[in-house]
Amino acid sequence: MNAIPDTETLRRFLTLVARRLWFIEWLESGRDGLWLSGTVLLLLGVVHVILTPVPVLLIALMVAGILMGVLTRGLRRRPSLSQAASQADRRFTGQALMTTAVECMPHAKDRAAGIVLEQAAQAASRWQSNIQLTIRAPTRRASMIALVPLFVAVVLLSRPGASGSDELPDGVSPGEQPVIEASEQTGDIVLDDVATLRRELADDLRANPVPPRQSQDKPSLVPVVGDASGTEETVEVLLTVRDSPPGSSARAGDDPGDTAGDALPRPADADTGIDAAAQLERREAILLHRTGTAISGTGETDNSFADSASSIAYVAVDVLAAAAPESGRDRTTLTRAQAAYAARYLKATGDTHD
Amino acid sequence: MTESTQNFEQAATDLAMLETQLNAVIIGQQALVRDLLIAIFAGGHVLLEGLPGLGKTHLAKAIAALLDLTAGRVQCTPDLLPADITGSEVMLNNSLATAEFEFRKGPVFANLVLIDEINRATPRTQAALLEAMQERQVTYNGAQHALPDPFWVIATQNPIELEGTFPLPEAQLDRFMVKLQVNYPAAESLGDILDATLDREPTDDLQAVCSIERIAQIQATAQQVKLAKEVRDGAIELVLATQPDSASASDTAREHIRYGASPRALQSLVRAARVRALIDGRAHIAYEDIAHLAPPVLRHRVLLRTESELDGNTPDSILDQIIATWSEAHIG
Repeated sequence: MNAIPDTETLRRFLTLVARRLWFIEWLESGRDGLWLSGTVLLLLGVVHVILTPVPVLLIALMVAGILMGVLTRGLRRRPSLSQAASQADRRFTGQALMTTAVECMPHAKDRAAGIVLEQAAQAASRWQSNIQLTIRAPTRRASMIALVPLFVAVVLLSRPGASGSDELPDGVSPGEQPVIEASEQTGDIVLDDVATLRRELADDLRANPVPPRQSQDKPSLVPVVGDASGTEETVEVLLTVRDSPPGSSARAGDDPGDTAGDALPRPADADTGIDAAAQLERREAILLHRTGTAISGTGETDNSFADSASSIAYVAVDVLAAAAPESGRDRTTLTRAQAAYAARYLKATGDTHD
Repeated sequence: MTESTQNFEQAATDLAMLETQLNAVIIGQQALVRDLLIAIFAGGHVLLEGLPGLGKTHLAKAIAALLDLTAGRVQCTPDLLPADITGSEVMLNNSLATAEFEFRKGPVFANLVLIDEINRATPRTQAALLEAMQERQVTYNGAQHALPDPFWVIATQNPIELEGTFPLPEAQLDRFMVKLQVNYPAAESLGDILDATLDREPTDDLQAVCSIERIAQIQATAQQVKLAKEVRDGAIELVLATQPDSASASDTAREHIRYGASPRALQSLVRAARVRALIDGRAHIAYEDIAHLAPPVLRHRVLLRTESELDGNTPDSILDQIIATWSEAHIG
């Protein structure tokens, strides 16, 4: 009866080969992860610099996702004994000895299988000390090169990102809104200094006086603006007129063409700043509609007044009037649309408006 | 040392000794001698193709002498009849009324039959060998006569002077395990050939070193050589790569081959690989065995397209490409 050959030497050798292959697999996965994350971060960096700032959370999630994918791939690619045997044959020029030996392990009592296992064990003893030399890890150079896109991406992402301009109307650049900052809680624009804005408006009116209201030609126009001479007092007058009690000749909404639904609410009637803003938005819509539509019932559309500086001035003044802080409050919140109108007016007064 | 290990080692030793003896007689043809031994011990028939005067007949005689085999020889000519190979019945006495017939065995009734210039025999005579090679028996007048065991056919053919010859049909070619090319010996071997054969016939001095029983034992040992599943699948992949209609066909096969290797080719490949592993002292078949034996096993079973032949391609050149691709994938 033939002795059952010892398979421990063979198993130990193949286990060491499998571990070595797995380690190399992890290294290669890590290098692939470096390339992938570097490429993705590079693209994000380009987006960050050219288009819009990229949130840190998104970057962190991307990197975490890539790392998790790399680790998972490495875990799943653990070589089996058969795979280790196949690689050992290939790398040690084993001529399918290890592959055959693994298949012979369950049949060690068979004569020929026993011979194969004996020969495999002898070969394993010879090769065991050369595993690291024969099964080489990927070169460091390849891994170092993978750091290049990552480095470039870090440089790009550390720069200030491009600010978004989609909130502003055309022609208005971020540099022309020095007094407006976004409120992260409400999303509204907060005017830090309404007085500053009023002063600027007064200066603009002085430089570009608003033509007198031609209410007889355009009876639907809101009789808001009086004789604007561009002085600060005039602006105050305008605002005072806005705030005048009911019955006043300058009462807003008392227009021959007004219907009941067109009655313009007064900021003084508002209970809160938010309600005033909502009422103002309604008034803005009405103003826009009136300034852009036909008068005298002919149905003809007269858009000549629609985008002129004076119409913008009317709206802007309304905005400022509505934004007049209530007593005891130093800060006033404007919606984005209100701030956009104000900014547009400031811009428009400096432009050659066609 | 275990008993099984002894058997394997002894078998390897005997084969090595046979190889050495043959190389002493057939000088300058080491690769041919090894492949011939492999085919013989794998139980297959051999087709030798080479120019005249290269020692093909000499080789067959040497094999028969060393292995203590009975030998028969047939020189094929166009007028050769099937009965000249298989044998025929003869009348024992002159009286027709009391005639008795006896089957007289032909030259095919030997352990090793040398069929010289088989392509000169008519297809009818060639067909007489089909049953003998495949079934190891001869049927004459309804009676079957078993051939000796073991039984091998070593056939030779001349690649030139093909006028008036009859190329072997595919069915018969497929029954030869290997087709070996006999090439010119190297220049440095010619002197040794002259010294050995000028004044005497070297095969006359040969003594048998292996009995028929020992041949059977070695063959039984070779059958125990292990074939790993991965290597088996590799051999299958190689054979399928030669079949142009197969899903696993190589691009080379689709372009150049009309008919590829058969399942019998796969059997022959594995049987021969076992013996080669045994000669090398291994108890398992390696990819290298498959790669080395693929050309002699497959070259006569692969039929090229006419266009490919007209372009100057040969089965060997096409098979070399297919085997190279396969070796790259499995051996590295």
